[in-house]
Order: sequence, then structure tokens, then C-alpha cells
Amino acid sequence: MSDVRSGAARRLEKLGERMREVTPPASLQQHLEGRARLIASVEKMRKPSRARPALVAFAFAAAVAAAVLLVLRMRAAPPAIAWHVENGAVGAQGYVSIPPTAPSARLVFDDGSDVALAPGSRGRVAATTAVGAEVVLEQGRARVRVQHRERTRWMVDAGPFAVKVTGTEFMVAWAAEAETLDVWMRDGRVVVTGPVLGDALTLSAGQHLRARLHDGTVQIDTEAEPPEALGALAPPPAPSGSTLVVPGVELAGPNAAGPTPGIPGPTWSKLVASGDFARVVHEAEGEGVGHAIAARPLADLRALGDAARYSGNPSLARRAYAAVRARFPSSGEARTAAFLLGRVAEEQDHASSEAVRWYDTYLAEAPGGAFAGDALGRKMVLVSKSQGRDAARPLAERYLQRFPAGPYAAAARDLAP
Amino acid sequence: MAGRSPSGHEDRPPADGPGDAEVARLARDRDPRAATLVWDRYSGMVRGILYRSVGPGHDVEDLLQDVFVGFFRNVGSLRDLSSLRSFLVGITLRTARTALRKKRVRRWLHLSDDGTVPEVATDDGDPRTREAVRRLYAILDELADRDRLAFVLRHAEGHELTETAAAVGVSLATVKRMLQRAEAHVHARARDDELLSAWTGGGHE
Repeated sequence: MSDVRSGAARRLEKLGERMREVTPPASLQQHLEGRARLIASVEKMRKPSRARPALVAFAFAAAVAAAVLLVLRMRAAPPAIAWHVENGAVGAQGYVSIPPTAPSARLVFDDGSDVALAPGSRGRVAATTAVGAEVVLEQGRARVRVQHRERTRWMVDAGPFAVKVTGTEFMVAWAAEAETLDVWMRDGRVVVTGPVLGDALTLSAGQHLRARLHDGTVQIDTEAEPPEALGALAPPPAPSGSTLVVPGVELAGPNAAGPTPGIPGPTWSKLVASGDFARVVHEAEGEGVGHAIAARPLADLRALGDAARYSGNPSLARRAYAAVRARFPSSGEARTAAFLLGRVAEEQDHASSEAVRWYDTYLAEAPGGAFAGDALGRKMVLVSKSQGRDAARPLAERYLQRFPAGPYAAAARDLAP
Repeated sequence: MAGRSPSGHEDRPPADGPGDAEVARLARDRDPRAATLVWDRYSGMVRGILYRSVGPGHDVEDLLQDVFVGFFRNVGSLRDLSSLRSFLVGITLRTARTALRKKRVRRWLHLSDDGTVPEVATDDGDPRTREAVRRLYAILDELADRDRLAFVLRHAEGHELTETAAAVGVSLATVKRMLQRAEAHVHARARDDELLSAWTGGGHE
């Protein structure tokens, strides 16, 4: 009887083992997309403010009123935006695929917005609401023109990245094989979220973003749109009287002037968050970089470093981050600055050994920090390139042990199968 | 957490990373780093439990999002911050149970899921393995949802009895009865199936 029982137990144990063996692992793409979705969801949750106890009764009454309004509104809910395809057709599963030799196709929305898909591109309209749509760009390039209206909410998904739009014109490209996102801004502003971007990144008119997943680099500059894309996707003339600018929002382009004398302008952190890196650098230069480095508070120094890094000024970025470490050595920002100094060394100075040294510094100072996975992953990649696979293998094993599902896990498994 | 942890490293916090309590605190405080930390640490574990609980044919990625969004919505109610992992497992099981219930309702309404388990993609590409997996999940479909989840936790995830009971939300005695039912059923059905019997490495005992 006991043999029978132990036989059954063995079989069940084997069965559980088999279940684990045949569970398909997540791909890197799935992992990154899932993480980006979660970050976006959590970001939405962060926005509502907490109700104070004293307001609970009021909130309850408001909720009841809102419910009544909701019912009334549902009865007269405006319809979702309709759309159709010009120069193309909707294929299986809602995809619009443009052959490489065909002219570009346009997804035309009846709110006046349109998305032009370049030859060789593939996309689909995932959803539409009364105030916007979600368009997925699976591969290729698209020019997006969103007409701003009240409560406009548009989103363009490109790989694991999401571009949130309220009213603007830009071009977006997603190269799935190279895992590279490009966004060229023409008008207005967008907010881009996704892996390697850290917090949400705001882009303004004239800026270009390139984010590459495979090496984790993020570059923001003023590179012009590729000319062939302009030709292929030239938009129709905008209807007269239409505007692509979000009312009430300051359009802070890269060449925007500084604050009016005597009137305090937005903080540098806010300027960086809004994508106006040039203005931060301009203001620092206006007051004297040396003075700014020596006297500005911690948040401004970090913002200056970020602005300089994003606008391709590595020497100023290094000075700002170094000042963060020198003047505020016990702050969390000081540890983060070590990682960011590594990024500057790697991305802009192409100094691998210096980058590795800074990543080591970060890992020593903040072994459980938010950038620990990135620091270890970047170090692994750099060591593999400069010293070979054998030298990088222990780093790959360490990475897999700590971050088995992290963004560098595939590269680590390649080094340490 | 003293389970056998057969799922390997995917459910273990890194030795030198922030502890679960710190990660839970960041999540509770809506720290922007929390989503990345929780996802990188636990999405593998949760994905595995979900897949093995509901079986092939479900959109596990969507369920995975449900679990983590549910976690961030409810982390404020987590009293013992160090029990983040158990908390997540509990949400995972509730999500899986809801998915199983919906599947049952859809089948009842004849909207989808005709009762057959879809073919499964496996790494080794062996059609016999695919068929064995399909048959195994068909057997699990015959169990009551809670019995099934207890079975998966105990045998596929390697949880101890007490952990399994806590995750399913029943007493130790109850979980033992649930497991006894599920084990007897699965064992009998697998033993009588030649392919499954061979796949699990045993003949008739």
C-alpha cells in the first residue's frame, strides 16, 4: 500500500515537473511590453489625489451625483470616432499592411486626424473612442496628425513604447528587428513611455528621439525627419482654421527664449520634463555655468545634467552630475549620478572603461537601486565587446541570477547558456 | 518562504537587491521605480502560475497585467510588507480562478471553448509531448476550480501545504481534503492514459 502511495507521489511530482518544463517562457518582447503596460497603468493610478477623511461625505455625495450624470450621459454617449483607409485596405485581424513598393496609405479619422503609413509598414487601429484612438504601429513608419479637440486622447503604440498625444503632428518609426524607436516632432508635444526611457519623456516641436532597446541608449536631438519619409508621407494641406497646438500649454521648443526678466520661469526640472532641454542649458549659460554648478539646488543640478545629456552636451552633463556627487554625497541622486555618468561615458564619449568604472561605482553604492539591472546589463555588454565573451560570462551569470527576466536576460543567456 | 521552489530562481528575490518589504513600501507609496522592480522580480513567477493554473488557450499576458494592476491597487492593504510574494500569489490565484470561471460560463453559453484544450506549442516540438500536455490540461479541466488551483500550487509550484492553504484561502484540513480529491483524480486519469503514463515516467504501479 505504501509502495502504491509513494508511486503515486512520484508520478505527481514528475507531473508537476513536466508542467513546469512545458510552460513557455516569456520572450524579451513580451517582458518589455508587459512592463511598459504596467508602468503606464501605475502612472494612471498615481494621478488621482487621496481623499481626506473630511471630504469623504462630500465625495460620497459627489459619487452619487456622478453616477446619476453617468447614467444620463451614457444615454447620450457620443459615438466612437469612425475611420477608413485611403490607398489601402484592412486585412486579416484588422491590420493595414503596405507593401514596400506601394504608395503610402492613410487611416483617416472623422475627427480630422489621420495616420499615414509609409511603404513597408504595418499597423492597425486597436480601438477608437469618442475622443481619440489607439493605433498600433507594428513595423515601419507613420506620420501622425492629431486634431486637438476637447479631451482629445490618442495613443500610438510602437513596439513596447507608447506615444500619448493630445493634438500634434509627428512622425514615428519602429524597427522591430533592430528594436529601435524614432520620433520626429513637428508640432505640439507628445509623452513617450516605455523601457529604457525611465520616467515618461515629453517631446516638443523640433525634437527627435531615438531609443534603442538592444543597447539601452536614448538620444534626443534635433535631427530632421528622413527626406524619403517626407516625400512618401506628405500630408494633405491642413484645413483652414484648424490648430494642432494644445491650448493653454506653453510650446517650449528647443530654441525657445528664457523667462521674461522679473517673472520667475518654470523650474529646470519642469523644463526637462516638458522636453525643453535647450532652455535649461541656455539659462545655465546665462547665469554662468560655474555659478550654477556651485550654487543651484540638487534638483536643478540633476535637471541640468539631464538636459545637457539629452541635448548632446556631455562635458556639461559630466560637470552637473559630478557636482551632484560632490555637493550632495549622501543623497540618492548622488548614487544615480554615478549611473548617469556611466551613460554619458558610454553613449556620448564612447569611453567603455570609464563607463564600466561608473557602473561599478553605482553597483557598489546602490546594489539594490533602481538602475542596478541596467548598470549590470550595460557592464556585461561592454565587457563582452571589449574583453570577449569569456570575460563577460561571470557577469552574465550574475545578471541572470538577479534579473532572470530582465531586459538583458537574453543577451546574458547567450553569454552563459 | 520555505517551499521547495521548483520553479527555480524566478521567484526568489535577489540576494543583494532591495528586500520584499522595501519593494512593497515603494509600491504602496506609488514610487515610480516600484512597477519596474515588482515586474522584473515577479512577472516570471506569476506568469508561470497563471499558465499552469488556467492552461493553454488563455491570454496569459492580459491576466498578468490584471494581477499586477490588482497588486498596485491593493498593496495599501498589505499589513506585513515582507509578505509581498504571498500577497501576489493570492492575487494571482484569484485572477486565475476568475479566468477559469469565465471559461466555464463561456462554455456553458456556447460562446467559445467547446471543452477541448487547444494544441500547445512546446519547445521540443515533439507532437507526443504536445498531445500529453493537452491531455493533462484536459484532466485538470475536470477538477473543481479551487481543487485545481491547490493542485497546481502544491505539485507544479512546490508550495508547502500551509502555503497552499493560505494562498487558496482555506484551512489546512480543508486544503488537505481538496488535494486528496484532486490528486486521486489526476493520478487515476494519468495512470490510465498510456501517453501520459509514459510522459510522467511511470508504468502501472
